[in-house]
Amino acid sequence: MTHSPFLGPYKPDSIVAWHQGKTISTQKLLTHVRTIRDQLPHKPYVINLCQDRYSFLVGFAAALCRNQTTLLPPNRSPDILQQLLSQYSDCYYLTDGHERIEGVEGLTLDLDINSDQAPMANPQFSNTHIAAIAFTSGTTGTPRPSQKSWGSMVQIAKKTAERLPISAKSPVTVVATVPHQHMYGLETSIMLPLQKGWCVYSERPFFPEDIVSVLHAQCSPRILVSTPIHLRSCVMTESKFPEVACTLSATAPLPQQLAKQVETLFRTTMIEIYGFAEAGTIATRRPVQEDSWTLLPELTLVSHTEGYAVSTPYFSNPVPIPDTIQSANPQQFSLEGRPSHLINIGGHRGSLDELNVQLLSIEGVVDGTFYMPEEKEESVTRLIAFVVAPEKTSEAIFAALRHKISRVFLPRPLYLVKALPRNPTGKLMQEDIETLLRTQHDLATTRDRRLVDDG
Amino acid sequence: MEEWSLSNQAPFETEIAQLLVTTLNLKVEPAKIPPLDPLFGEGLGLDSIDALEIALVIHQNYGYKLRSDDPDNTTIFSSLRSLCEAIQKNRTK
Repeated sequence: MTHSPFLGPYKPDSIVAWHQGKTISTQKLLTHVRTIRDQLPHKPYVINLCQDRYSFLVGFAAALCRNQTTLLPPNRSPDILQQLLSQYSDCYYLTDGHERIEGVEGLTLDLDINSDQAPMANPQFSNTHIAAIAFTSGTTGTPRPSQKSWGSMVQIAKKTAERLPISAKSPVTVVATVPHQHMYGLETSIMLPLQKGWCVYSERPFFPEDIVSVLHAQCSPRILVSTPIHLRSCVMTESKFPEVACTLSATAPLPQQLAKQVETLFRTTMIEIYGFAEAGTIATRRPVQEDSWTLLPELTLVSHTEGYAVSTPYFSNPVPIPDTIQSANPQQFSLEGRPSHLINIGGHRGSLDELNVQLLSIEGVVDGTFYMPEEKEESVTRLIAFVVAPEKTSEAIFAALRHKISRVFLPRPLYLVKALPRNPTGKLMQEDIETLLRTQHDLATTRDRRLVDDG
Repeated sequence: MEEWSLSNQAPFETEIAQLLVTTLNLKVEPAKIPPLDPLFGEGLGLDSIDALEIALVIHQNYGYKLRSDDPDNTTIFSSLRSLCEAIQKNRTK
């Protein structure tokens, strides 16, 4: 099979999306796609900035119809976009609002179309066509590309769907709290419903109360695509949520206790997804029942120079797995954590070594280190930094870091210290850093008390 | 008589500033957060993870559940002062 269809099941009158409170039929979607397809500039690459999930979907499909590749920047910061444009100069952008990219040709999506043209047939796209290039920001914010062929995206969606406890014949709506411009969101909130004939919910609820009202407005069965951070927020509110047939979580490990609470709160089956930028989703598990991960059908683990890689029918070479894993058989594995210098904050992966290089490159910084405190289940743990910089203020160093590293890795807090407790060989031992942290914390507490006492 | 702090914070703004600094582990003196500066982006440099944490702690302390489809939402997070005004308007405890 050299091509795969845009829509898995093709039924002209079935509902494929909820957009601005209205249903969108397959016919309407394909009319939108055809109209936008004919308006697109003749360029190989497009940055799809559309905030609305349905608008993004129309732009994505229209670009596929023209054999174009959608670029997925890790964020919208001008620096990141400029870096992308320097590598993919023959590029335009799509927008559904006020977002613009300076100096680049752009097209504003207008979906207010009254077309009387006959419905377009379900388009077929080449499995080898690079449908998207996802970029991860990494530690320093320099985007690293991962190419996604249309065939791989279709296969991942279909294989993931096999793991979900959805047998309903009635229409399933997929509601997502995650953005569609990242691979996890694109795979689960757009590709999954398209390939299964489910319904894409266009808006992105963010706060727990938003999730309550969106879920209530949708008929059962519903799928909720989310993250541990959002799910924890939901569990900690006292709101009542409607029943959700299946809840998906990815981007960071989901503690088993939280998974149990989510299953109770939403009367749901909580399925956790494991994936990474280079390969996309590769495995799933139900945390309340199992610790180990099961690879998607037809995927197998193979040995690799630094651990394991995953072999798939849709990537020509095995893809190395970035986490340390233990495997009992070629289809199952357990996560043994990341190598100690690698971190994951709210789904953003980074390296302490690379962060330290950036810290030490700041003028006036004599010595310094980032430190990841023991991670707590009840909140997102942020990095701490200890810096030796006699001539600088902590505010100045913080400001310099803001230009050098992704915002999510900015230290909370940054401590200015006289020296780091390096041992005779120059190494920093974990217990010495923890002692330093306790000392700094005590100093800060004493100072705060004094401020209060001095009133 | 209640005094206004160095950065012209009202007393309730100082209370919320303290809550933000403690909750988010910020290395700033609460009293020095300018009440009209943006909380996200360049100002305090907060991100969307912080937005959820703030929403949670405001709900726990004041009983106000933030929503993003609130017509006032873009204003609510625009500064310490607007956040405080929203809390005072909607608080249940």
